[in-house]
Amino acid sequence: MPRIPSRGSRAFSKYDAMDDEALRSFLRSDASKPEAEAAGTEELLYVMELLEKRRKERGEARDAQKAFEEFKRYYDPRNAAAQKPPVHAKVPAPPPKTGTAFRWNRKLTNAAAVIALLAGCTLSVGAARFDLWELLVKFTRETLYIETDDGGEPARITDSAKQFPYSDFPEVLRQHGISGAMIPTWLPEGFAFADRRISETPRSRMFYEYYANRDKSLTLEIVENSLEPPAYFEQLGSEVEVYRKNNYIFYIFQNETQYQAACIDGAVQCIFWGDLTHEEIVQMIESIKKV
Amino acid sequence: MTQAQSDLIDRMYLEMHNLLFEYAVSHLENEAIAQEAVQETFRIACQKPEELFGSPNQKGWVMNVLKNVISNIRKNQSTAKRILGEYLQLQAQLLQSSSDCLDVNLLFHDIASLEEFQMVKEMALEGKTYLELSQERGISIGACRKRMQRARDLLRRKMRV
Repeated sequence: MPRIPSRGSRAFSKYDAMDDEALRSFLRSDASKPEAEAAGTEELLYVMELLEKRRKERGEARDAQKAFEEFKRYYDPRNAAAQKPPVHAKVPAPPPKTGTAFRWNRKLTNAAAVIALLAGCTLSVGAARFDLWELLVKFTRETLYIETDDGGEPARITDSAKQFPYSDFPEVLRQHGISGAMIPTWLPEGFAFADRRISETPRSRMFYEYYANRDKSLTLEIVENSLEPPAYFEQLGSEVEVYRKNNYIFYIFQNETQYQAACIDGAVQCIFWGDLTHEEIVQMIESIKKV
Repeated sequence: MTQAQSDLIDRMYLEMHNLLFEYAVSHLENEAIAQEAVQETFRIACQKPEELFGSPNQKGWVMNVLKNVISNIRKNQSTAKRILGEYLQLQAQLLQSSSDCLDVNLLFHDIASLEEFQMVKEMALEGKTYLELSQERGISIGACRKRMQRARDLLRRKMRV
């Protein structure tokens, strides 16, 4: 890497006498110049360094270390935790539901969910395939307008090989007044509890459990919405698969390299995703126990 | 990416951050957005280590990425402002031409109350960063970016109607 030239570099010393606005104007104009006329990297870095030094002299220096920590936490693609949402310490009670506005908003959100989930993709339901229009109708009927079925039997645990390493997640949910959340009781081998976070928006409360297995990650998310049910998921894979587990419908899809499963049960959503195989995510669904 | 390359990116970050910030703030005239432009630049560097370390002028490569990031931010801001302007203008025209306000609601009912629409407005008109938007909504920056893109596409399509 070329070193950043020192402020005393003769070739660029003409900039030393310029005021800040003139230097900034030089930087701005450089971007619009054709490449052949644009300043070289060293010249630009010299001017940038000059501005930075003057900022420092004014006692307004930027804290690069603090910015670096923010980068690592929120932006760095090398850090899986950067994909986690920010933490909110306090979780207030959700706002009360309202009749008309709630129904209206639900319809609007549903339209977004259809776009988000189904754009350009085909869907397989079990082994069968449906065309896009049938899918739209089906998805709208079964997911976006799904109602909580309290009378339904809770999902049975078909595989009790492994319980949560930290089995108090259901307890945490109960303490926050969340009932009816569906939680897998089986995790793929090697995943260990890493972190738990709770966050909230004006419309939702979100509970996250993070698990790690070397460089692999797995996240469980329970969302309680004040608006029932804003089904909105990111979906970048080419297919959405519908998987039925007793009375529940899980939507399995891929987001880049990760598998994700989502189910809406009234105002509560159960979502989990991570570096999983299709077989593993199905097994997790099969182990769901409604709490 | 090797560990050595990863460490080198970290060192470059700490060495270049304040300088890149000066460049970004000169163009964007908003410290929070300039800060995000620098973060985005290094996010791209982390995703393209082959390009970065294959370049004979690594700092020049980073500078060029920052220039592109700034250009995209400006483009997105201006697109969002234009679309929102058109939206508001069209809404006003419809309100004037018809006494039945329901028509307006029907025309825009699929976007006006969407969270994404609010995001576009907050970013374009209030100058909020992705970090601020993601923190307010409890989602990751990546998810925030995807939603914003989808919202822009949706609004663009709507404006063609």
